[in-house]
Amino acid sequence: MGCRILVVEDDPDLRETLARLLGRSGYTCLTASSGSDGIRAIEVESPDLVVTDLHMPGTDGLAVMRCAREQVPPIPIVLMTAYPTPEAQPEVRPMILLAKPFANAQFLGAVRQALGNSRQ
Amino acid sequence: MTPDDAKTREELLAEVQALRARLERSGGAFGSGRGSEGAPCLDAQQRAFVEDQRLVWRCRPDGALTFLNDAARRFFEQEPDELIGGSSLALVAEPDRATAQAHLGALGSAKPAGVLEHRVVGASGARWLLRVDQVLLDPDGQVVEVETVARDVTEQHDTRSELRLREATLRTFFKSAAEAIVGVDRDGRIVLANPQAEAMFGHERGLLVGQRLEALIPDRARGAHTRHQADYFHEPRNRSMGLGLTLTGRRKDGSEFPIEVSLTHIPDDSGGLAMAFVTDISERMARDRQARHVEKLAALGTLAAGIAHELNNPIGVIQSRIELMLMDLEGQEKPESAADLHVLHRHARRLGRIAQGLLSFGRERQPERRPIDLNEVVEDTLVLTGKQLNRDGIHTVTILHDGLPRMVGDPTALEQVLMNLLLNARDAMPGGGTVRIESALGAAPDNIRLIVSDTGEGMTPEVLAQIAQPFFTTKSRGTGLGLSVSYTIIRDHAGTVEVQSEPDRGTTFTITFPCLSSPVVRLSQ
Repeated sequence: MGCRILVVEDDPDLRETLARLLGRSGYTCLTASSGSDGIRAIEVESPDLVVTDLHMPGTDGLAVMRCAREQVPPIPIVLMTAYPTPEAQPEVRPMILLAKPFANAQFLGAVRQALGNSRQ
Repeated sequence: MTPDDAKTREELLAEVQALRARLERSGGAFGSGRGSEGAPCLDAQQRAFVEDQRLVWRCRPDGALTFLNDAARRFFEQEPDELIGGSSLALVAEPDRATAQAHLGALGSAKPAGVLEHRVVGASGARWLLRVDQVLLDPDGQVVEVETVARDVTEQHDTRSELRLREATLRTFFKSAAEAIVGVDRDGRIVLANPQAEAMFGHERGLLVGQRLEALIPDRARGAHTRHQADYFHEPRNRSMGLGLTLTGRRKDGSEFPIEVSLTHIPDDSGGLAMAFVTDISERMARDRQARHVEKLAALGTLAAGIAHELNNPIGVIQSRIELMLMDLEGQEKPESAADLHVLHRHARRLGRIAQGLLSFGRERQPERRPIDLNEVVEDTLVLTGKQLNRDGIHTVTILHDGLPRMVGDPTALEQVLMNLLLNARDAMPGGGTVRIESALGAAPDNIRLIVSDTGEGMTPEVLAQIAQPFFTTKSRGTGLGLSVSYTIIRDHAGTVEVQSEPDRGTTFTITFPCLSSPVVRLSQ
């Protein structure tokens, strides 16, 4: 598909897993290991989609999300969280909320949906 | 006017004077020196007596007035001429005249003096007089004259009325006060106790008074109390007893209960009374305990959520990696590896469910409504409670119906119900025992059943009748809420509960739910 997807996740094992999964599915995957790295990557690389964890030490997923939204055009987001909390549902489009743990198929579905939404 | 109208006033006066003179010569009842108008030499004392605020008047046996002193004249605001000869009863206010007449009529040689209180209408309206009537007798014992000395006692009378009213009010308040009130003298003896105090402490009406205060206190507290009591009377002031301490009251049957006491001192001539207002706070303490329990649950919920959150990340990694590995194996002939990975994956998913269960624990959430497998609910609950039951010496036997039809509901809530039943079963078997959990088809079609039975102490019919009530508990540490919440959850799932129990034989709960295909379920959605 040629889409470039940025994965922002502080857990290295999960980061690597998702990178492999995305690679296998035909996407180009960029990774960032922290919120601040993620924001830098958004500005420098302009990915087609940002997948980010919510709870990270330091800069959290909400900040990453805001940054992605502020880009022109706004970048779609998949937000992962181990604990879906009410506050993690801001009015951001396009955004998909994905609860951990998830099946790989669920993850890919969310990615496709987010990319599809942004094309509307 | 009196029957003696015919006689002139002057004749009457003359008659009296003559009689007086006779009496004085013969040493009559009133002695010498006192006189009506025109009589010689009142000495200073007598003049003072007559001229002071006391009202004095005299009349003949038939009631005709013969004399009034200045004070009386001023009091009745009439000229003596108008009064003399008139009836002394005219001085009495009308409602009291009959009493006055009877009183006067009773006077004679057998009863030479009498006291009466009655109203009169004086210059300043209705007043109360206290009067002393004395008869003057002739040597033959006949009444010659009646002398009346009276004082205006309106103020005292009003005070007495007010006092009576206040006493009556106090008595009513005392009797009907919501709190128990006990009055104790400085010797520690109960001198007052209202019906609430008698009821609270389990004593028969009227039998609490006279007992020592120690009767209301547990033995172990008596020593300290005696000291406090002495201190209090030494320096009495109104306060709460034992601020911050838990005080305990003791009923007649020996049972104890928590109380709050506030004290008031009422002084009197003999050391005063300590009035204790006692409130039974058992209910309040139960509510506090329950509130603390709820808070504890909330804290546990937060802790559980934190743990769950920590677990979800590694579980996610495990699950995703296993799926990747399974993808890698596609097309390769490695059935054992694939099977192994499937087992691992299944357990990873199960870990995920447990973490999800922990997250839901204690959290305010909308109950789910989705198709669920009751067997899975049982398994998941046992994952959470199994170890704890084992440690308490409880052996669990699980018999799950294979292919049990699914039902609709909230798995977490049902787990809570089952957990509650299991913990109750454990509490019923303090020395250990067996709990049997069974899932089965219902007696009626479209129904499934969950049966939880133990071999514990069982319940009497009386206890059985109350178990669904909130706050009912037979355990000293129980809040009495678990079963009532469980019953509510079961009801929300359109389920019913049947309980069978026999003391020392055990208890069986049979819960019936409509299954997915049941028309009941479809209607309620």
